[in-house]
Amino acid sequence: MRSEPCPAARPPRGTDWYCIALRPTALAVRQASAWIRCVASRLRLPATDSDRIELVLTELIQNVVDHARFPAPHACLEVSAWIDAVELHLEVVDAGGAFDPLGADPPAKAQRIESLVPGGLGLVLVREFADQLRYRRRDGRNHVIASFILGPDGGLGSS
Amino acid sequence: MNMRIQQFGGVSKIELEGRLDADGVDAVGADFSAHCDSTPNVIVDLGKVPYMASIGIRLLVVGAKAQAGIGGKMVLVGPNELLRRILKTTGIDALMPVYDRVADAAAAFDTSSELPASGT
Repeated sequence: MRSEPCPAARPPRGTDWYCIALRPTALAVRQASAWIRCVASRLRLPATDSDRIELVLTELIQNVVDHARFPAPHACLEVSAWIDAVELHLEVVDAGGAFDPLGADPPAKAQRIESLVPGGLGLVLVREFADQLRYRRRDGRNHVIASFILGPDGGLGSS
Repeated sequence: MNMRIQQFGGVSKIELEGRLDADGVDAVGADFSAHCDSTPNVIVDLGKVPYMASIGIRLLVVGAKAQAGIGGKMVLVGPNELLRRILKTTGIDALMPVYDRVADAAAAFDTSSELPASGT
């Protein structure tokens, strides 16, 4: 899988911008996972950073694949990643129905395993592992930007 | 993702090795679920699982619910720092006991003498 800097990108000057377009099928999660691991390797990110970035990306993609309704049969998901100073930013763009993952209610906490409904946990993980989340609806598309502080100020020690 | 099952008296240990993501669940999910559906009291050793996505949590939850349905229970052992944070964030650690060592997990079933004292 290629992870070359996107030539048509408009990142801050001197910043590499990586991007990929995916069909919103179950395969997209695996493709996004392989792509971001390739990007993380290229950027030489430590596992503590690359793991949480991959987790957030794949959960965002999984959510779109599972729940978004696309008006066009050949709609694509667009994912891009770039580093700005000490942060890595991920943007996921989809043309599905408007959905703000920041506004979704978290699933109710179950008191017993028997009553736990195993769904909705992906967005809980997205909120936990991204350092910042932003959402906007523009031109009929959802834009979710997840940002991650890299290095000792971010990662697993940030919670 | 690989899976190995060891039976010790009334408790079995499922040792998972590899990433518990979509590919990992595809690789071991059917066998994992079949065991949890039929054999009560399971220790899931996560000591060799470096990464887990929500689909992996779903596999554990479905297995634990199956255990409850047949009168058994599932406990987890040896998750790394990432997995611990995932289990805590999702509240799974409040529903499935999490231990550092296999011997401690075995004690939850009161069969520690039948399990190896050392391990993950």
